[in-house]
Amino acid sequence: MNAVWRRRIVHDMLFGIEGSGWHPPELSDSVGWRWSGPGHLSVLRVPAPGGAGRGEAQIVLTGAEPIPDVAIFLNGHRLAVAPRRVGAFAVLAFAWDQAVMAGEPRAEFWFHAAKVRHLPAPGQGMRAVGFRLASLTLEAMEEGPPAGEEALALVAGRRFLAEHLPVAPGRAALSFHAEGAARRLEMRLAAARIGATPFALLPLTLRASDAALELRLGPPGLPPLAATLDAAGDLVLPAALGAREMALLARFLAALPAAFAAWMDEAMARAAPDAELLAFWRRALARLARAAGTRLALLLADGPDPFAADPAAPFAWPGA
Amino acid sequence: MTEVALATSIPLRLSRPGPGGEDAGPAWRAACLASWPAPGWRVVSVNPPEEIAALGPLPEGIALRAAAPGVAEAFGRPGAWLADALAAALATGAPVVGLVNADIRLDLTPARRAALLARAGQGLLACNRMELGHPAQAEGPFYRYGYDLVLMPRAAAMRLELAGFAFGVPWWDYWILLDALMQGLPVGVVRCDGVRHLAHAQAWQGAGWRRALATMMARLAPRRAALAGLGLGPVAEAIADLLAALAAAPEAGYPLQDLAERAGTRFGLEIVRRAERNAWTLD
Repeated sequence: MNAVWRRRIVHDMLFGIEGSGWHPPELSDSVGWRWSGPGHLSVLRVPAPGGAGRGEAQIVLTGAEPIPDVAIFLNGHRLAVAPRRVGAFAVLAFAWDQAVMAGEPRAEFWFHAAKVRHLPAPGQGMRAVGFRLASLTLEAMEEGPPAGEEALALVAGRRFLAEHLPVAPGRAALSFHAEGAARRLEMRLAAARIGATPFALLPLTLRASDAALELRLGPPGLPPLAATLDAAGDLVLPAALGAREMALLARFLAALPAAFAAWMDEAMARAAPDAELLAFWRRALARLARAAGTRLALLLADGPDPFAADPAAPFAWPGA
Repeated sequence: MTEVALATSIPLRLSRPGPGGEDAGPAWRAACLASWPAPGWRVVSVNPPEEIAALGPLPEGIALRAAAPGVAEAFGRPGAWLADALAAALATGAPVVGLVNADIRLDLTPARRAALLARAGQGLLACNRMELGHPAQAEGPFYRYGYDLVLMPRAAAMRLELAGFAFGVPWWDYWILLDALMQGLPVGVVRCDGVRHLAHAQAWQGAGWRRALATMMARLAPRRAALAGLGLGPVAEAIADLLAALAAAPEAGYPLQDLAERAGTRFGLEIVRRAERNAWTLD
């Protein structure tokens, strides 16, 4: 039998983490962990290898404690989880295919605990907890590009775009609706900015059906901009926009997953959400962001120079 | 030809809790000893002279060397210095040398041994152990906060500064990684289910743990600039500075013992995290 080496990325929950829905780290008898909670959904954002991979979540158990019922999502895709008991741990093994990481700058894991209970917190009152995550290990299933191969172009490109086509999606408030077979997401974006133009409130409506993802964006008092992402992944932006505005709008749409993530971190505390619904919109926004990125690349490659205009000029809203 | 020479210090006896209250230690000890030698793999056990006659017959492929004195005086129980043991491994002429704790059973196929040999020829490999509750257990959790089998090219072994560290005393495994990293040697952490350990209660706590930590910090203090080059971050570096100060003045009063234990634990975690930047699974 051949021996196989696999690169492993280890995320130790004793250290600082990026995400939400976790209590402070604890250590006992050489085992460290963070309790999930107080809500049912906990988020962990980590660097991860591109392409397909596999991983394990190591959960600390006490005595005969049963393996907790935890659903795991990666970038909005629910993963098939194979739980097993290994000594004093529950190991939740999972794998993902290439599409799950496509276009994602990093891996966003959601852990949805079916049950939350109230236990005494060290030195405090009661707290709501789900399960004790000790570490998350990830392994690539295929060879990726050598580290840093395109780092210079990526860093330079991101800095250039941030400087010349600045956007900020602001702070999002979300509400979810059903329209027959379609789903609708209302995003109210506070303190958003497109180019040099700030918006105190910028409402955005997304309507998802089998055929397309339709988008309407506009501040109160102005005609909304409409865009459509069709089933083939092509994004159609308003033709009335100038070259610079078109590029800025594409950049703005590409930034929406960050606003969604920030909303998740804020809204999921103590929540018992519909994880599948959230995952649906997480995937939809990622699809929209990828299409917006592709659209921007085409605009930069083939269209008029969007950098020729004065970067301090306000966003020219059609019909304003 | 010897391709890998492992150094260890075989205890006279081993005691481990077994099913039904029996002592599983003797059988586990025998299984460990039998598991180390293989074609191309030799083992040198370094023991205090008074132990050598009492060890009894050993499996073929395991040689004995008399240990340099001083461990009992330093740590209150007999043993072997790591530098002494590694020198014994180097003396075999093997291109790859290593250290293995004596209660580790190596369930390694020839392919895995070859994979370890090939990679250890390029840099230091530190292997986590799989913890077993019973010798026949198929799978157990890996212990991430310790390294029970360390392999390295002989050139790297000759550069390590192991004075003051002994087998069985905490921190030696962390120090080897830290020393290698500070010297710019490649270090990899390996998880392989063929490196097995029968779980037992922690042997070192309290004063012995703190004394060994102080030894490590005393070695580290003069190399502070090299530590800064590892990119551990400001928290880890501040903790290292605190521990170095505590090591230099261990009796400076309340609540420095507690502080040393907390800070030492965190610093150990920092070493693990730094080493795991290059972590591998060997299937």
